[in-house]
Amino acid sequence: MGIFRPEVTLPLGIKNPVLAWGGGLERLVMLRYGIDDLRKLYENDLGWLRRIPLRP
Amino acid sequence: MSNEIILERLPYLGLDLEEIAEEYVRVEYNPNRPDFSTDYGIARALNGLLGLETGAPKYRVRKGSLKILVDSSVRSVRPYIGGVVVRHIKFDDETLRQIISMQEDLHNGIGRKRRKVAIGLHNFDVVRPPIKYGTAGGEFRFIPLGDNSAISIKEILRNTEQGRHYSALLSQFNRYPILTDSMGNVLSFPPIINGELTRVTNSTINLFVDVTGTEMKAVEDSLSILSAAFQDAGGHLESVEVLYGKKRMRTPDLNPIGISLDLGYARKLLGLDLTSRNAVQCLARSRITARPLKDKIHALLPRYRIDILHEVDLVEDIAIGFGLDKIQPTIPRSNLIGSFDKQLTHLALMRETLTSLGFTEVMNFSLVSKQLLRDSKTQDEEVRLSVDNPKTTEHEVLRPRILPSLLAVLSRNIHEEYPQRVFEIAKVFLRDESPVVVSESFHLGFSIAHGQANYSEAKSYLASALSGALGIECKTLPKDDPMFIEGRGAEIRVREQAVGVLGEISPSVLQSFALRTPVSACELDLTKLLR
Repeated sequence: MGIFRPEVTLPLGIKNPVLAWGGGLERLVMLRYGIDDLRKLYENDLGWLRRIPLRP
Repeated sequence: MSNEIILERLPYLGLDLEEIAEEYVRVEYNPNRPDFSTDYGIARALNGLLGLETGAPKYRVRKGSLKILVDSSVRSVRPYIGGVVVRHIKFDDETLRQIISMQEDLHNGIGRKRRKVAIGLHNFDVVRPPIKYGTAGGEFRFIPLGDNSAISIKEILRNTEQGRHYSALLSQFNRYPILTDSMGNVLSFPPIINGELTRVTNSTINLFVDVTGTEMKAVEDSLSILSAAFQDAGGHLESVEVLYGKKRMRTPDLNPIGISLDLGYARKLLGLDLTSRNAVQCLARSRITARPLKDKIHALLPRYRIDILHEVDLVEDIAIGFGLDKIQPTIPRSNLIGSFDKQLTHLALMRETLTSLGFTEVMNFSLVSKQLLRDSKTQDEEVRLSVDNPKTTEHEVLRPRILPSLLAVLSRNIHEEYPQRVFEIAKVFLRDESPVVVSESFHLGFSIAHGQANYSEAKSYLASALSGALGIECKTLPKDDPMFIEGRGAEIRVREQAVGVLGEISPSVLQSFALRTPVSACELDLTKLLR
């Protein structure tokens, strides 16, 4: 998170400061679902997708 | 100074604590602060933050008598060189470890894997000045570091570890940079390897450091960071004169760099009501000496602060000196309400509708292999966007449609229960003529696999999805697609516009994906539909 450097925003015609923050949701999902391998979220394993609860 | 206080403050310098042990702590530093590559640099900064030693550190460089004579032949190979002599340095194991670690970090960072900058450390007491920086042919022989007999440059590039690793940097040349003394002894062959003669050990008292490279600024920046660390380690710095023909330079130049900052700009960006005096104090804690000059602050940056490029960087240093944890959050004065993007709202509704109809949502990568598109008989290769030099064959092309990825998902799930109904809503990419080279669209793709999967079922789900999520109806007209069984494919039309395809997947495609049940599928261009 932080403030964009003017060298980045000025060429796009933006004169006011631009604040930004962000984070990956995957890690939160991993904590919530008790997964320890990130790739599980992208395997598209129907068996797993069908079993996981909507709100763990 | 207790360990607790040090450990507590380190993150406020921008250092991530990775491992805490009895005798040491491992920290990760950002590559924009190469001065943090040694304990000396970190201690320097921490002293400031803790208020123990503030303002820019003072570096003393005595005028030395060593000269480096540069031959013009290096100009087309590795043009720039700088150096420093360090006297009375105590090279215990720890100091040596720190310096070597810094050298490696500078090689990989500013040095761009030794291409831009390479650093040589030499025992100065065996060197007979002046030093010559010139070039030699591939047959030139000397004893490289770690060897006991002379071998040629060509052999070094072919047979030694460093030679093999970095020979690509010199592959276009037939004359190679070489640093020698007045007796013709080799100090080093930059950027590859030093000579054995000037090996540095625990008993080295006087050091000569050479920095060669392809950009003068990078060479000088690295030399400044090295010199600062050497002085902090207890050495006495002596400058070196470099002669490029008639042009003379003295290195290192550790004079501070002056830069101005508008106080109003800092106050506005930080949201802090700082006076010039506050700002000066904060900068002092960031080891920057500053003084107010009307409504500006004039700052003197230590030469090793190569990360300060713009006023904003000084503002950041004010914040760091102020204490990032001391900045109080405040509620913004403007009231802005955010809302969801309209297009995304429709997409979310479509997702919910399909889930309600019993489909499982899947997510696939945007980059796919060419093989996947071949297996699914996807046409139109001219409008595809491919990756230049892909690292793996899995990520070669930006996908122009969703269905191939869905077939791959079905392929990976042949041991799961049937019926299988999957869908995905994601971006696909096509090459465009104008105005932009890439056109991105959201597509919906769904696939149905089971013993009786057929066109009618897919059509029925399509109709339910369109009416449920978007309140619209569609028409289908027969149209063949290489992916579908001949006669069982259709074009989807909404308001006379072609917006997608629908059909039963052909047996040959099913075979490519090792699928053993019939599959019917549909793909819709939602971006087109929602316009």
